[in-house]
Amino acid sequence: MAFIQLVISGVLQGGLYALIALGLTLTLGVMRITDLSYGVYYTLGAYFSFFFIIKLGFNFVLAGILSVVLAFLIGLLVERLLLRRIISDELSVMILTFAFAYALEEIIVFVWGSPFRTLPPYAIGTLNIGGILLEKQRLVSFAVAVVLIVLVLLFLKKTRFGKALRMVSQQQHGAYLVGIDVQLIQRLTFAVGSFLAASAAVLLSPIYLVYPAMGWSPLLKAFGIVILGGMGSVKGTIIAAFALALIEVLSSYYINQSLSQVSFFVVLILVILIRPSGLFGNREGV
Amino acid sequence: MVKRNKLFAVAMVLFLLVGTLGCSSQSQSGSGDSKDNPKQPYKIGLLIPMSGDAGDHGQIMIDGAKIAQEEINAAGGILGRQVELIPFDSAANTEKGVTGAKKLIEQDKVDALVGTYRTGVALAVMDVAADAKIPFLISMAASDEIRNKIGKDNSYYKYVFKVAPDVADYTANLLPFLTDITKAKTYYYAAENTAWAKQLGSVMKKQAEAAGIKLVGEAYVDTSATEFTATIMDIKKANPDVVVCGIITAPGVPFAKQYYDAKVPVPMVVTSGVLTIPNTIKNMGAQSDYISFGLFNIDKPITDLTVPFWEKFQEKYGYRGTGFNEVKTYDSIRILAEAINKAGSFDKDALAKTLETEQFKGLAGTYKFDETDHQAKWGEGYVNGVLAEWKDGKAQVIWPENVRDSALIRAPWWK
Repeated sequence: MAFIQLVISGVLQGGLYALIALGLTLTLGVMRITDLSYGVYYTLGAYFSFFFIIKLGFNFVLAGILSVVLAFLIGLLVERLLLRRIISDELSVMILTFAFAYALEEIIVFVWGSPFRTLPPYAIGTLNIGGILLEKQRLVSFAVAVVLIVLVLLFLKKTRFGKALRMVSQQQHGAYLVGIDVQLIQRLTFAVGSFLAASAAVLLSPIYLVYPAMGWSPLLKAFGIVILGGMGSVKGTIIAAFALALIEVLSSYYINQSLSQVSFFVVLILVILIRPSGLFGNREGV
Repeated sequence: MVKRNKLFAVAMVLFLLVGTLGCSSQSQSGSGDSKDNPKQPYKIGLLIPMSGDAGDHGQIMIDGAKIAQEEINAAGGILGRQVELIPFDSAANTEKGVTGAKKLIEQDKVDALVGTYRTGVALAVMDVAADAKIPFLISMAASDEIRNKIGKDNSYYKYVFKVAPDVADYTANLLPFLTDITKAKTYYYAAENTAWAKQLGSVMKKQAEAAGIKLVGEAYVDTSATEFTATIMDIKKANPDVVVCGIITAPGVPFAKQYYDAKVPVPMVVTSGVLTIPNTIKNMGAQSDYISFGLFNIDKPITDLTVPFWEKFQEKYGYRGTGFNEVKTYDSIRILAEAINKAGSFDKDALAKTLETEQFKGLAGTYKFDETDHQAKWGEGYVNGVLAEWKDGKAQVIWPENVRDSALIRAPWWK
């Protein structure tokens, strides 16, 4: 029974990790850049939610939609005004996005202050199914995350834009040759990444604490997941996200609670040593 | 190449800007010599974190310090000299703390130092203050290492005094929750995987065992953990009478929410940190109910200074402090002023002698420093804390009995 409970908790957590990492893998696959500011869109999503719900009294759904739309628009602007000029220079992109993340964190402190914030829960309590406890809030967050992930997958598979995005990811020069506007695809991909990071924050901020530096930990986890799954592989990212969550939960219980993060990184190091491109890297692009 | 260099330069400028914002000194006065002249202000350098992961605490400390400054100045100052505060953002970082202490002493010519949030910063700044023979009242950093260091070379650290509670004081503050309130025989310790939480756990274990209470399980979770199913299952398996929670930073909130949702049948008491801050609790709804916690002060008549301070604080700033940051900073400045007034001169040796021998009234009780290690004494008749419990977003004092609002409010699902 304990094992089943742990696996279910791990799966619920895995869905949320997948949502956090999905935007980063799209950015990596399509733009071929290492975006160190990715976590700040997560932070912005949480603060926008806080602002709309607590300060303006909006309901969760409206606040969530506004928050992710704002993050999307900021993503568009950042790509156009900051990244576009240096996109081919990987080192400059890393330095700029890192500095941008720190600067934006200071701006968040300036606008909202440094105190810790919390958001009211949108569902309290647990469902007890045959002795297995399911927290309603994590269950709802998981369900919404899965819906968003499925929508992204359908979008990539079924729409013309999605197909163009995949082509840019797999063969950028080929995409140019067949007349795809690669810059537009990259810009929108970056904005979609910001949107997904903010979506994860909207779902998680009623569970977690909201504070200016909250984006760094998800950034680290997202990178770990993306590397484990294979840079730019959506399928790999989703599988790695669930693997990370399950490793964390199971190792916490069966090995040692303080080793949950270590366990994941040990697995990550082993995978990189055996298969440097990650589980699904270099096979299929996004 | 030129384009790349330009971008690199822009990135560097941004880095420097961020660094500057993080470590800027926010002097509230001009610099200049501070002498025993009544026309010169008595300058107190405040070494506090205003950025970084402890940045949340700095403003609260300044707010407490300002009330002490206003009260002292309104009463005629320190032997006729008005108090002036000069804050420096240490970012709870040792290097910045040392830089700040040197800057405050050498450039701003402060007469005394108050502050330091982390033990590492306090241990380093102690040496700077001792070398410069500047009185230094440690208001926040709590580790035993500080008192041990003073105790080993008490003549070198003659002017260094520790207003902050000791690790053993933190746990002594919690102990009545186990012994008196819940009459527990067993407890479980769930904490962060940090040196501080481990030290706290070890001292707690000794004190609990001395009171006949057995530790039946412990968990040290990662400081970035967000999912606690394993911890909660382990607690349920251990079946303790009480859970002592030392998860004091960001993971404390998801842990408390999950603990509530899982209806763990055992009361929980939190040592300190994020779950004791009203701002954090404000929007947690019912998920903050039934969490008990140790506090070093609250708006109850602990001394005749306490209630007026809290009323003034609420009226002036519109929020409730943590019961620690603002209290210990306020008390440190008041102690300094009272000691100089009692000594009747600004002579540092006379000040040190007075601090060693006299008693001083503060918000948290009566301060009496140990003559050897300069640690403020804890317990009845000296400085003491309170225990409170969150219910409907309000802190209900549950101990000590003479100031309590109510008995422990029991959750319907507790055993």
